[in-house]
Amino acid sequence: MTTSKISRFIFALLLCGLSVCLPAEAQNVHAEAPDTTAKPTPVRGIQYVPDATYKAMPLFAGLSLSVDLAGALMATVTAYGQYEAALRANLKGRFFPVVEAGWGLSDHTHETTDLHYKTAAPFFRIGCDYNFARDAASGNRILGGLRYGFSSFDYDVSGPDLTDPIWGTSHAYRFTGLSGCNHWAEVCFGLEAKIWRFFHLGWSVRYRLRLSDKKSEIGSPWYVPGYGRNDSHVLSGTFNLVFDI
Amino acid sequence: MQLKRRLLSPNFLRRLGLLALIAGMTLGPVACTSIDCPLDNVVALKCGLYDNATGSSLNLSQTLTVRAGGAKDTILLNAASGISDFLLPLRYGSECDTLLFEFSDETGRAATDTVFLSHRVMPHFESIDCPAAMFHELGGARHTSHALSLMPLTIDSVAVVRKTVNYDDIENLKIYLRSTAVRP
Repeated sequence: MTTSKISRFIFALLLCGLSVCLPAEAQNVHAEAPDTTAKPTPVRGIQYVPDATYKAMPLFAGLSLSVDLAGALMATVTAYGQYEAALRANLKGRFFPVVEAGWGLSDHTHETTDLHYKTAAPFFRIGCDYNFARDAASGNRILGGLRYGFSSFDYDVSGPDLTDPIWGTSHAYRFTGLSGCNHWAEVCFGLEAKIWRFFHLGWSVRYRLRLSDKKSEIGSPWYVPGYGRNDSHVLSGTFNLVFDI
Repeated sequence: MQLKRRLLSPNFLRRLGLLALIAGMTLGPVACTSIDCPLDNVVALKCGLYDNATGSSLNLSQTLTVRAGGAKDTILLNAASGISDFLLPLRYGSECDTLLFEFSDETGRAATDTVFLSHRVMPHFESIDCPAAMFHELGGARHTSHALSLMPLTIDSVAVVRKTVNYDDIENLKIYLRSTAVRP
């Protein structure tokens, strides 16, 4: 039920995002198209621009470095989060092979159960985005892509002693150095807008599907660096500052 | 003046809208979580009663009380009748539980059988949202039987059918009972 609500919410927002982005895209295309008449006449609304007017881009059109602000914000104000950066290549303005790496962390005690979970470990993702925008050279992009993610990490779990309800004996509940290792796949969708010369802002929504989950002696980890809460699938997002280098 | 014109330009406003959307898209999924904890964090061994002659499930017509061996007045199942299965908690601090099965009937006859159950205690972590729990992994089971002349119902054999004792409501132990009752 909750997943269904989230899906509807995301879908509605995606529609809103497209409706905001696509007119802007079309207008930028028009602005960058070369003048073909001596006296340009003012135009209004979305204009058709032939494909021939778009600038051709070289196979390797540059690299960009990005950082995620959403994960950093989560690491600061919520129970878990991650600091991550990505290095991305631009191939003809269409294909964007990307390597993402980061440091996921959680150091949280639940207010009701008093259980404490702690981990801090690196994670890696590799994948590729495709730019669906009509004008690949404009710097404004509609990106869809796939990722493969991986994290191997240690974690600690501790909590109040467990009391046997029949015999009344207490037993310590403290585990350190538990080992976890998760693999996952991601389907991404995002928008990116050129703000100033080499600087872009963008967001992405990510549907993560767990491929494997290594259990420790007491069960599965609660938070997996780079993945989030360790469910069979999760929704997440990023808010990126992108710098062309 | 130029700054005001730039701030009110359609492109700038669109980008501002886009940024607001970015914030919503980013924080929206982050804010949604669901918690799926079990209602009770105490797990129990599920035992089923079977007729040793037919192998079918047995509905107990006599009375059964199960006590924990080695403890006074620790009743795990109190005077149950008309049941075909029941739940028993296992001990956290021991790797072998001694369970005393007391059979009795309305005529006042009574006899006790003992089941020795070896198990490994496995602390379990589900999520920090859920209370911690102790699971168990069953090793083996031994039992004693009494003479049917004392009480015409006794344990014939015990079989471990599922080793893991956790939140799942699945039978762990089959207890086959032998009786002198005449069957149709």
